[in-house]
Amino acid sequence: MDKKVLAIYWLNGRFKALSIYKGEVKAVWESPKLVEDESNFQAALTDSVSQTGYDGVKVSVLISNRKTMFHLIEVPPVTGADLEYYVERKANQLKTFDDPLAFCYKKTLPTRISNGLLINIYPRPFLEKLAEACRNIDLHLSRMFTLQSVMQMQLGSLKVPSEEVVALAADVEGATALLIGRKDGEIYFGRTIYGDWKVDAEYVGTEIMRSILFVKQQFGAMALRLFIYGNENEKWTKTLEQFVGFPVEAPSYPSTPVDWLKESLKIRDDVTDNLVTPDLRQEPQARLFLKMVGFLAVVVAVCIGGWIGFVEKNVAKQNSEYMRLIPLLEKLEGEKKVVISRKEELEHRQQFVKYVTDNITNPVPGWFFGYLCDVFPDDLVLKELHIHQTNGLWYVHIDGVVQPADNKNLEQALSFGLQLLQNRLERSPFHFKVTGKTKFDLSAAISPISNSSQNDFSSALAMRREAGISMLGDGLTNTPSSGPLSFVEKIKGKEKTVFWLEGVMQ
Amino acid sequence: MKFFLPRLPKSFTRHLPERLLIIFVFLLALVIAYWSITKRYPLIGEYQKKSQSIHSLEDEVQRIKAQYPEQILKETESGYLRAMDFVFTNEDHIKFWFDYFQQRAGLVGLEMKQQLISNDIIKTVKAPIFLRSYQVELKPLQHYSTNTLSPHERLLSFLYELSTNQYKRLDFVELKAAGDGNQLEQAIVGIKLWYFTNAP
Repeated sequence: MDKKVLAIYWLNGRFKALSIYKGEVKAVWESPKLVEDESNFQAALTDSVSQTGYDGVKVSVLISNRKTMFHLIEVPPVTGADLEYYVERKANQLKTFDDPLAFCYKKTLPTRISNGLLINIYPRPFLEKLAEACRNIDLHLSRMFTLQSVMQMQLGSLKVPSEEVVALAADVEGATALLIGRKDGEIYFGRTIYGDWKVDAEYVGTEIMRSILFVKQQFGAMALRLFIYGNENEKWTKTLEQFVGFPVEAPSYPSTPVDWLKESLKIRDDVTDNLVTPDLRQEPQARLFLKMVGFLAVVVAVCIGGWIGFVEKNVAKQNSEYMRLIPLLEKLEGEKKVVISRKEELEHRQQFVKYVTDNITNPVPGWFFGYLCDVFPDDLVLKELHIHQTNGLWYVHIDGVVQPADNKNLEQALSFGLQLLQNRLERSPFHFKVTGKTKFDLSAAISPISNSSQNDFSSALAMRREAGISMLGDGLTNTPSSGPLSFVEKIKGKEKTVFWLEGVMQ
Repeated sequence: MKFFLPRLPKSFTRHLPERLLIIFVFLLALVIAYWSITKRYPLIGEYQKKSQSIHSLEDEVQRIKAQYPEQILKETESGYLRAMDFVFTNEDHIKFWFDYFQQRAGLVGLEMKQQLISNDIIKTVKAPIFLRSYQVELKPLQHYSTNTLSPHERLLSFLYELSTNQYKRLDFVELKAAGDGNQLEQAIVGIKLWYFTNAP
């Protein structure tokens, strides 16, 4: 139970308020006038707060009026949202007003056919006006119960067998609240009879019997005892027994509005027969949550705004810094073009000078030709000279014939002349190196020349060998071939006069 | 939808405008934050990079300036112009050069014919240098009796003239002489001329 509660007894116009603190009644105030409907509720509530000095928030109302109507309905075996949806549809079919409805319900014992619910239908605007009236003075309507809900709690305190069906009736300011149930707290049916047994006991008794028979018809259970609550209830037991036909008992508690209010506070808020719908019941939490989420959203928005401010400030700063450098950039780009052009010009000049002035090729062919003409042996005649440069080396090819100035032997003249030419070239400033020359000794060895010529040639070779001068093809002359070679045959007649020499120089 | 909507709890529709406003504010804030993070924030880095690139450019320009001061151009001017003197700078110049030596060849009893063999390119940073290879054919004139020198001596004399006292670079790369002793029948000289069209 809440620490502070303003409990209001508002039954059929009678308005009584109790300020309760930790379960103790601190102040009681009763409206001197009847509070007929919700239009007067605001004023009565304000007065009750001021008169009782209530400083809490929670408001609990025990209510009974013609706007709340009980119906017994049968429901399929569903629960949760499906049940709520089904009940709402059913309630819409049963309602007798045009306004949107609100409803609460209480599970009953199963009927003969299916599950049963005792629903209470009332206009939603009525509920919202009460909630608004509370909200207007910073109160929160958290609970509103009919007397039947409180009466249900009394079932357990009755001294009857647990399975016995009993009927409870309470005198509520000119009306009679009726509840039929069992000691174990399970109920069958509840309704409000708009009649007072003090005024018209027969009518009330008849209506009670009708309800009992309705329960018998629907549930197959028959109440055989009636308990009546209210002031001086014991006086009316005999009267009512005449009409209901079974024993009527009169418990002493609860009997006054204060008793009923105290008992009503024992009911939990979140039961399904609370007339305050869950959305209104949880409104403070919803508002608090909404405020927190709103605050959080604002905090997030502010943080994001701060972030954006930070980013935009930096963007603007960097942008202005960049814009400030734009003229410098243009100037630098111009300067860069100039210096790059200068660099390229310089590199071009360096390359140009290097290519043009480095590695100048000397007119070696002319020099060599001139030198060759000077050193060419007298017995040899130059027929062809070819000098060309490849990969930095000069390749020289010399072709010629031998023409002895006197009656020298041809082979001897050629041998000595060619060797003389080789020696002169290799000792020249051209760093000449012979890479090949005519192998005259081979031709001499195999050619069919006269015996005298062969002897002369052999003696010439012998002279050179005696002098220690080696000759190309010396190895071949030691193993003369017995027969002529085809190549030799081809150059027959010329082989003795033609020579060639090849070499390289740097 | 019709089946579902009525099942919505009343608490859902309670404070709906406020909730929608909060959601809107929250989503708007998130969208703006996303935009700021993905679009605007990178701009800071971009501008910083641009600024840094300008400073880097400044350093680079200063470095190149220091590396290649204007003074160097002046210092290399004379060497460059001297090297420029070694190359031919226009076609007329080459033609004039060959005409001159044809006349000179005629004076020593030689007939001279030249033929362009190849035109190689040597690339430099600014403009290419062309290396033109010519084959010059020299033959003794048939009816030439004013000179008592032998053909090969005339050829030697002409080669000497061709290869010395040249104010242009001339590379001899080949010589082919054919004849019979002092009777030169033909000489072919391979030469290369340096040619630069973009000369100042």
